[in-house]
Amino acid sequence: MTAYILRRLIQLPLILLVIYTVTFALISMHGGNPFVGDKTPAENKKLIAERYGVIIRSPEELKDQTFAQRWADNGRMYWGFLSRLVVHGDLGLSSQFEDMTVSEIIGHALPRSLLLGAFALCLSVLVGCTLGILAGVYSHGPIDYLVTVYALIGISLPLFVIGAVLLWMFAFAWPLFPVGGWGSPSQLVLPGVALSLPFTAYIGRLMRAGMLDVLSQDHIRTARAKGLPGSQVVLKHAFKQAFLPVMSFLGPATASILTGSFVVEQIFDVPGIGRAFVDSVTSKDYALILGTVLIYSTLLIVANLIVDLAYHWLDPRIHLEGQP
Amino acid sequence: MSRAAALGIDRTSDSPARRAMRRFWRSKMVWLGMALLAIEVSASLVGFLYARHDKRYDRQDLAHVLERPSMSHLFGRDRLGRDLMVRTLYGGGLSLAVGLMAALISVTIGVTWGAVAGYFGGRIDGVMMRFVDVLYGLPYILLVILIKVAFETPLAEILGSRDQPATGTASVIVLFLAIGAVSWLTMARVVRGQVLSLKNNDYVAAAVAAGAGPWRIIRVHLLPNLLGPIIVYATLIIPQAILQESFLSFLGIGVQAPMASWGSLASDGVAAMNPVISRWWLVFFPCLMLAATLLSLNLIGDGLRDAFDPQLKRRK
Repeated sequence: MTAYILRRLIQLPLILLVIYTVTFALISMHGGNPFVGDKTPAENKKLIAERYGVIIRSPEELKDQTFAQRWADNGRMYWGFLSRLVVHGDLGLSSQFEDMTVSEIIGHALPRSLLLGAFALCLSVLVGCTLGILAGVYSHGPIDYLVTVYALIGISLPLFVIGAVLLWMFAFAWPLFPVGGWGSPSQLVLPGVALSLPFTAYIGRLMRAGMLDVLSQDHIRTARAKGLPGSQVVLKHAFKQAFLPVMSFLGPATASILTGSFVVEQIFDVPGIGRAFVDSVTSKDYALILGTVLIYSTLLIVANLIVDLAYHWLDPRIHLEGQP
Repeated sequence: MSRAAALGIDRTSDSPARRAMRRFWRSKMVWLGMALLAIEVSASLVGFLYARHDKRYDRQDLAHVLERPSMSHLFGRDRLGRDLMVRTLYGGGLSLAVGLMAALISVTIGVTWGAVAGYFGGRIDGVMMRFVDVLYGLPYILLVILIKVAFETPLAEILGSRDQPATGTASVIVLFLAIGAVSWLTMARVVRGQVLSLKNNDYVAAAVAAGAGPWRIIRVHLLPNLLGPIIVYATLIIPQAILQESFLSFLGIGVQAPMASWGSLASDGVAAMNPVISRWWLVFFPCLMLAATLLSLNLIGDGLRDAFDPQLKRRK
């Protein structure tokens, strides 16, 4: 067990290095950076280049550059960024948010996104499991029907549609909650609920299927035959097993919640890390792109590890070494 | 299910595929999905061709901006006075095309990858599937965004000229390449699993004995048996791809103005919403079309999956 965790943790920096390299190659593909068109004097340019770790070429120079020259530039920049990160643990300066280090930006933005994501994840697991259990236990009843329809709609509606509808209903038509922003608990509600709805639908569907499957098995019949009350049979005996598919969905779900946060943060104007990433990509902010990609990847890999471990804990029959 | 099974026993002469198709067509949900999809696709196709002609999708009328839906403009007008119905149908054509192409690409990669890994097995299989596992755990949407941004300008310069890059076309092509390049993982896993179990059959051994090469065996002897699962997962990839395209366009990274897709239209609509006037039609119509398409594709995909692979019903 410990060996397994250790091995996964040792793999982490390797995978991150690959991701870092690929990301750098992709963003430097076209050459150029935010300072290319700048009219600043050569003296200042040198300072800027040093400060931000980029190589500044004028548009004319860029045009005449051969393929090999461009990638030589990129290679030098890559080496500069990487050595700064590895030796000093320094993610560099953002070029878009002036005078802010990437670490500062992430330090501000990440907790917001994490809080939002954790809130949405907890909400969707709670509501989804409840709905799924009810639908599974009272299958073919009205609750089951409602949950099925809700699940289909929830899977088919893109997040931005859900967000727009919620925004219109509960902030404009019936102003219960603020339109957007960040800081007070009431500002967390709408984005959190919007982010959770698709996952609630999916978890409800998984839980229902799991419940139906488990409830028809022998050990449940035995438990019932021994005279255990129905609620205890469902919650104690069936739940743990029916929860397994939901558990394995939580890994991908973490990824989708990260993705979803891009949209939700945009609609509800939350200054989180999703916004920071999207903005950094559109403005070619090298340091910020690399920083956010690294953070995202680390989060996701760790989340997947936790899910694998939890899975093993729920069902010790499952082996952790590679997939069957 | 039990009736289908009984039917299957009754008519032993039927092929499994034919039985599956009969199960498929018996579902009411499938019919609903098919009907919805037929309406959507034909409307989008006609609308797309109509809108492309003379660039009607970009015909502005600044004297009539943001008009409510009326008899002459059923979906209303946007903030440049363009007819929203024309734009929505045009965007629909684009969204569907991106979804279809992305699915095609991911099927090609996924099937090849899975078949090669499964057939050769051993170390090749280990390395290839390990790669898939690692990719599975990565934030692929970041990759899509980065690929999109990285290849867009170079491709535009190749397609057009350096001074007059073909930005619009390039952005659409890169979009489906990028989405296709990241959504083949599930397909690869499914195909590999099936090939692993199929390759131990006697007819494969017979083909090997007759001197067939691995490529021929995969193509002629294995792939036809895999058609069912491949079709099932391909139909489930299409709505995913459409969803991702709309998502990117919503963030402003997808198709470029003045082109439109459902995502970019919805994004414009959300931006135009404010507490005083809700211009609901700007959001409502593109989102309705998008949701109806996704719903119909999901219904058909689920129906296919249940029909071809009843045991797989609960697996994602």
